[in-house]
Amino acid sequence: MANLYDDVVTITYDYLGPAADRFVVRQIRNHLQKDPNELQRKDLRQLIDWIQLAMRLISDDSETIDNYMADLEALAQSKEPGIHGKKITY
Amino acid sequence: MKVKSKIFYWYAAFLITFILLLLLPAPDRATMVRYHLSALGFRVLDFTFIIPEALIWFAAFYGYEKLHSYSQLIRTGKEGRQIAKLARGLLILAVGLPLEAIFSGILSIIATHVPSFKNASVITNNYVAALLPLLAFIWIGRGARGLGDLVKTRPQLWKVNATTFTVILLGIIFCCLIVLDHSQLRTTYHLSPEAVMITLGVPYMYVWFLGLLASIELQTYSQKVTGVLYRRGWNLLILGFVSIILLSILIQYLSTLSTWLTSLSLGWILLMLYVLLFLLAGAFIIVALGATRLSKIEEA
Repeated sequence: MANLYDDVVTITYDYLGPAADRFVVRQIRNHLQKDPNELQRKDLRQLIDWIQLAMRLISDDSETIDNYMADLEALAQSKEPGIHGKKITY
Repeated sequence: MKVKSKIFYWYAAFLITFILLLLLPAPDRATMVRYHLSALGFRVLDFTFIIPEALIWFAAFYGYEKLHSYSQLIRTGKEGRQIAKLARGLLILAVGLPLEAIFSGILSIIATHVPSFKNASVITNNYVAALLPLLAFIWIGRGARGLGDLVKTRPQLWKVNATTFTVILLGIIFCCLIVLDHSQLRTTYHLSPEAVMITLGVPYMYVWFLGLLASIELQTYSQKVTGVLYRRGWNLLILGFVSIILLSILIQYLSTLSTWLTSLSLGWILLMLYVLLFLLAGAFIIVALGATRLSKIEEA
């Protein structure tokens, strides 16, 4: 069963492709000081803020970043895990 | 731009060696007579070689260093191993630029003092010029194929057929020009037409096939890989790689037709050569820009 971390990575895949896993793990470990599999719903708000900050450093494409944030916000507001479909892997 | 990699110490060593090889020996009389140059004019010509070469080599080393740094950032990832292979191929191309020039300079100096060595120096130069891109394109091809395996896709059949047809066409034109110009062949290559076709023509055709196939495999990967922002960095990287491959092939092709080029004036030859080399340097810079953009994702 998909956990919250998997959901965040699945969303991030649409924007960062193969770098999604590494990017999300780095944000969780460096800024939330926890293991990715320990990510909880109450951590999402803080994680989204850190991801937004990181994305502003990566790209100046505001529209794409706003779309990404909107997808993460939708996940934060949903009550069910795994709503964003199967994780795409190599 | 921070120059912190040891590859740039190698760049400095290559450049100093090249400058010494160019300026220390006495001016070549045959070249002075052919292009109506005085000794001073010959030295001015030498300096017109040094500055562009220095810039082009720096761009190549910079492009490699940026790609290598990116490959180190993602070395634990599946695509990291393939990008390391691309970086290795790029290193051979980058280092090959000064190595060929230095090697050619050393052989020329030896041939000047030992006239019987002149044929051997020309033959050796030609084989080194074919060997380095062959090694580079083998690594780039392996990296490109590895990336294609990751996205579980292959180039479309029509692209592979077009690549094969292009190589056959280039090869036939090359062989026809050799056969038509066989009277000057011994002066240029110091080999028989058959030896040129088999020992230079065939390897070059294989190099061109490897390079063109790698180009379409890289382009296929950039189309299939996910990630809006990730793909932008990759598009820039692949634009640089494809440009490097195509320009390298063009330079190799023109250099094998050097017999025909000597009928042009010195000015036109230099202009053609430096336009191509500066475009090549630009392609290395594009690779650096793509690698920098992708590195930002890994460092944020």
